Amino acid sequence: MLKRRHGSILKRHGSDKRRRGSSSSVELEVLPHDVIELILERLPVESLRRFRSVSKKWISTIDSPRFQSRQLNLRRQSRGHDLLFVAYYEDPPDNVAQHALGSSSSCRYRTVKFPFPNLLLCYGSCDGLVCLFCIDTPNVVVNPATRWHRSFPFSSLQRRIIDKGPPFGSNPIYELGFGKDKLSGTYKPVWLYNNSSKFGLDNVTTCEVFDFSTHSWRNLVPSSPYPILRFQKPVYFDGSLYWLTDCVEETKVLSFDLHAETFQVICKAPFADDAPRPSNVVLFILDDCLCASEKTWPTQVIWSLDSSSKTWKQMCSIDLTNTFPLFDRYGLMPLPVAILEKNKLYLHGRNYLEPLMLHDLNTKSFEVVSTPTTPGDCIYYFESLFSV
Amino acid sequence: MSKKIIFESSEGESFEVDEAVALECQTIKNMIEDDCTDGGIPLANVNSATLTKVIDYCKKHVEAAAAAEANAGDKDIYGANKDIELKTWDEEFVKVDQPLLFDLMLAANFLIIPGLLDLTCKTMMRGKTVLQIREIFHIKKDYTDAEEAEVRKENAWAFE
Repeated sequence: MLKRRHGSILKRHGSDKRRRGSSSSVELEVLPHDVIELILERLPVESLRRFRSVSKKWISTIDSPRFQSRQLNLRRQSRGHDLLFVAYYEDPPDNVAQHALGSSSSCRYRTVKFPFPNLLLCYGSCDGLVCLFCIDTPNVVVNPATRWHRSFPFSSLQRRIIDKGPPFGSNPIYELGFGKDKLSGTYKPVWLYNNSSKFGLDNVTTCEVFDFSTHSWRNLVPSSPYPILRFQKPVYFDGSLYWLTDCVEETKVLSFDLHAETFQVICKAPFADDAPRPSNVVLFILDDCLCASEKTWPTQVIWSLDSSSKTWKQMCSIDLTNTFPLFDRYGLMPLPVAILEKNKLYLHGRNYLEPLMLHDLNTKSFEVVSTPTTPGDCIYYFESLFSV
Repeated sequence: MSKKIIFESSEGESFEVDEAVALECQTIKNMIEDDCTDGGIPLANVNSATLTKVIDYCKKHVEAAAAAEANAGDKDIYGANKDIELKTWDEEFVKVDQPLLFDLMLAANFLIIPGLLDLTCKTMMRGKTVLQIREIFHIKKDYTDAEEAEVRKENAWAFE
């Protein structure tokens, strides 16, 4: 009955003549390719890259999008996410170190070096891809697991800054967003920036979207009717990019649907301060939820957004007194990067050489996980075989 | 006294296990929910040697889950101690010859035991060279030397 009710691979090739009473009921030369796929989709990216040279059949399996999605899904289910540390100013530039988070304490470290001089990283990772950019060097999408990468050209914003210089001092204050149109499965880098009188533009903001199929940038009209808060990385979550607005009366959350390419204010930010300093607030993803955090020294509060009711719920309040002086009380607030088992929160300091810390929300304890030797960003990440 | 489930191997041998252990197999879980396990469950595709191992695996994982629940407050900050013990046990568990490993993998697929399927697949392939893989799976090299060199070049970092 079991065989009839629950079809399986065994049923299909477990015929009588193949079970000859030996210790093994399987003869490997007749293993059908679907069993081989079953094995392959459970392997880490590194092994799969190597096994591409086994045969033409194997390479076509490993390189197929369907297989790559299944491999990523199984990887997501099998253990927790990894933490990727992308370091800047390294020689050679852009080292990427990787730790494995999860229920095991054995942190897996791996360093990948890229030959790109890019200085900034888009928030987070989309299907195991990360996007690096800078104002005056070409942008690049990278898969740190396979080392696949693709450069893409300067946007009008970047070209204008190279020609005329940045409008406010020398620090680049623009942040690129990177996400995926979930309906069409295409990846889109997006610039959204406030217009300054120096560029002589009338609209409040300008939005540029990069199209990988035509390999070109296009201007999106209409752009956001609200200016965005400075020093904030656009956050990709579930088919949309999110920003905080810079409004006189109160800070709002702005979303950009990557499929429809429309902007929408989805709700008010949960902050106590209606006009917060950009360094005291941040948007991010924790536990598959859009979250926001505000620092009012010595307290940092984290809220998560209920995506259906668009209401904020306070997740926790952290006393930063114990982390001082590891985190600069006047600088950028620490960024929550991951939460495990609902109470182990990873916080990464974003000021110069600040550590990655693990904070237990129950016991209120703090522990240094690692201290970088070069500045960089920590991101939530799964290895994948994806490319663009 | 917990409910017992009876498995019958391909050789016709009976194995009695606690229901909690049998529930580790998604396929059996579905059958229990549909109430069609009376009179034992014949597993025509799983031999006795494999079934013994599968039951050992399920028992261990049921016990470990129960122990983890009882000692929930006992973990270090990473939630790690029990996990390490179980991981070590798993590693020992799959130190078997290649044919039995394949049988375990196929049984795990058939009975839907995701943890065991994952463990056996990874173990089977771990540390294997391309040549070893071709040998194990009886795959004929269908690349020319030049083609193979080209693919290896694309994979350069994976051979580092």
